[in-house]
Amino acid sequence: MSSTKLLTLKTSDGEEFKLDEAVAVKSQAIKNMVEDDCVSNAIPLPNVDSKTMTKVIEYWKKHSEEGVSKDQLNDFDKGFLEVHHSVLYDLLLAANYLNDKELVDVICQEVADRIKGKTPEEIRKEFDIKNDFTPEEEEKIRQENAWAFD
Amino acid sequence: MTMRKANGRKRFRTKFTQHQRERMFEFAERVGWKLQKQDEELISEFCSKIGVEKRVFKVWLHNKKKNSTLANRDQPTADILPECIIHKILCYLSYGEASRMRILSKTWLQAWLTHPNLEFIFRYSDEAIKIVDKIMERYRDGKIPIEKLGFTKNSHPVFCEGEVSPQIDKWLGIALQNGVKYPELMYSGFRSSSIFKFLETNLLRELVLTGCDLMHLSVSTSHVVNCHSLRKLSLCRVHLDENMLQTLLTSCPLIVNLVIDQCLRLKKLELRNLQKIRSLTIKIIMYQRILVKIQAPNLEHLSYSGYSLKDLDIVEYENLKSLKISCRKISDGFIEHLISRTHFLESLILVKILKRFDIHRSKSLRVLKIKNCENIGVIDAPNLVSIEYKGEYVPRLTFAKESNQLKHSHIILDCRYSSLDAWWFCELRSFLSNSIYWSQVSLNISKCNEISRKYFQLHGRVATRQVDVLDVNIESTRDCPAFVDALLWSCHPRRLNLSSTVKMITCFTGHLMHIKNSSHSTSHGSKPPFSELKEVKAYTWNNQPVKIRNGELAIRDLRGRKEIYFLLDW
Repeated sequence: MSSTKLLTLKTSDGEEFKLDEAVAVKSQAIKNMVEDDCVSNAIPLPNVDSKTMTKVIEYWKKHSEEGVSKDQLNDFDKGFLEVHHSVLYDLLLAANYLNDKELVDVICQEVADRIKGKTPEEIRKEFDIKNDFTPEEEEKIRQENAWAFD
Repeated sequence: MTMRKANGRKRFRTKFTQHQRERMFEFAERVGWKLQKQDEELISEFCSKIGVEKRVFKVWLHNKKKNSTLANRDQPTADILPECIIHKILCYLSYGEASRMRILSKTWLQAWLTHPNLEFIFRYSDEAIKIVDKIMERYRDGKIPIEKLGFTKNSHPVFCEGEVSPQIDKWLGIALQNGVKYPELMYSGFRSSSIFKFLETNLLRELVLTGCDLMHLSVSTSHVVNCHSLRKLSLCRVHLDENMLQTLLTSCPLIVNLVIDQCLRLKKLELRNLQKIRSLTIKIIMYQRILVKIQAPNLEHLSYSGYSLKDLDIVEYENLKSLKISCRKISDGFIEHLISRTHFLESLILVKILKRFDIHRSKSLRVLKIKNCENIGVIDAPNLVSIEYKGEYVPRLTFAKESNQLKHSHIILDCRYSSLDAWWFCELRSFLSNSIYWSQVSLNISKCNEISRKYFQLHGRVATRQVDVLDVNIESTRDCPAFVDALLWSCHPRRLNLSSTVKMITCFTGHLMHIKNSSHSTSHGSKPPFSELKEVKAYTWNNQPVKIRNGELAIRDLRGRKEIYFLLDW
């Protein structure tokens, strides 16, 4: 059957995670390393902390499970993404760093869903985005790039 | 870490190759721009691999650290998302919404300016052209990749078509030059003589043309180009003749998906020997009677909408997986014949068919949708997963056997033009009780009438069917508790979705509470003729609970229409 080769991943705060190779290669970055054969020691992932890694592994494991129906996966995803936006960003950055296209897409869709229907002020408030425009700059942008939308 | 010795020795400036630089950057990102004790071995290994001394690498690291946002982040905010991710997020928003994101912050503005999807909707003439021109030139000069490109014209009588045409060619040229991967072109109302030129570039995957006039292009066989990239061609309200269509189809032999929608100038439609086509959509408006001949052996999805099915001549359709027919006239036994020949048919949608039809023994059928068909015979589909019926009247549907895989059964009744009296509710209740299990019932109602309660007594003995969801959409505002009674007498929903004016919602709430309270009492006086309603809970559309106080919902805004739902416990 499939090899039960275990990989060790080490996060930024020094914690180690042991994971089946078959699951870990959901990350294209890890897959590349496996193929380049540089995984003799633990794979350092200094941009991912253990908290985020736990969540990512939770996602990978669920999506690698056999016999899970599409509906069940959808329900899982919904619950998985019901988190504070800072957790979402950590996840997004981790997924991007690990190069897991599927996870990145799922999280981007969630962020887009949270953005839909809100005014820019509301979005800034909800996502803690700093408005680094001066009021004049902001007005200029509104005028300049307004195509047929505003 | 002091690596450089400040002495009189001449400084030697290390030169790195591009390859070394790339690998160092990659590695640095991997170790987070920090050289930790535990990574010593890794670093040594890496340095020997790329041929750079360790101390040289450390110096480089120190100098380049500031270029990495990764090294400098302390707290995650949407600001510091890399541009490619912001692009992805923008792609999931509608185009108008995405454009509003540009004033969030400088990072978002930058992402918007390099957004690979472009959609232009023209409302004004000269200004619009200038703006679009400026934007396209910016993309060209900055070599910003473009994935999607759309042009739509909002019809404006003063708009001069001639002016826009040459610009379109230029803009499309820019898009193609910008290394576009999967461009989708939506042209609307423009003439263009360069379609073949664009097809020839072999970059287009999808071409969607709406409202174009291709009649004046004189084509001959010499115009045939070799386009192997196009997979989808959609022509909607395009003026073209058969010659042009055939030339297009010959030029793009690998088309998988073809849509021909209301192309009025076609006198006939012959689609012969299209080996690669899997999906075909043909829409012919009512009064355009043209003969359609289809020969596509690998066809899996067919959607035909026209006046008479007799005008459709299709051979070799055994591989059909999904079929949608919207036709007034069909020949006798056509549907039965079709079903017996297609053993893989999974989805069947029938719209506006006047003649009676049966669905005979289709083992493969999973999804069945029937819209506005008056005369339906027997439905025999033992593996049906989903069924939907839409019409104006309570239907007569006979099922040979209830499928044990049925997950979703939905009946939608548009009762805006009917008068809903007690008799109608009797019919509905009868239907629901005697038919298969319907999980969802949707009613579109324009006004509530007074219902005479005496009818309820007649059918009181048969148990009321439970349904999962009852959607009610009521336009009127008339206060009508008897109506609520009648609704809940015809079926017991677990969830009642109500979309109506606030006044009507209040009436519903009040009456639901009354029913609930009187269910608990033991008096036999004016007890409503149905079993107990134990609990009522109310929620807004986005799942926020709403309190019910004294039989009234705690809603602040009392104007306009609202949507709420009740969870009912029977």
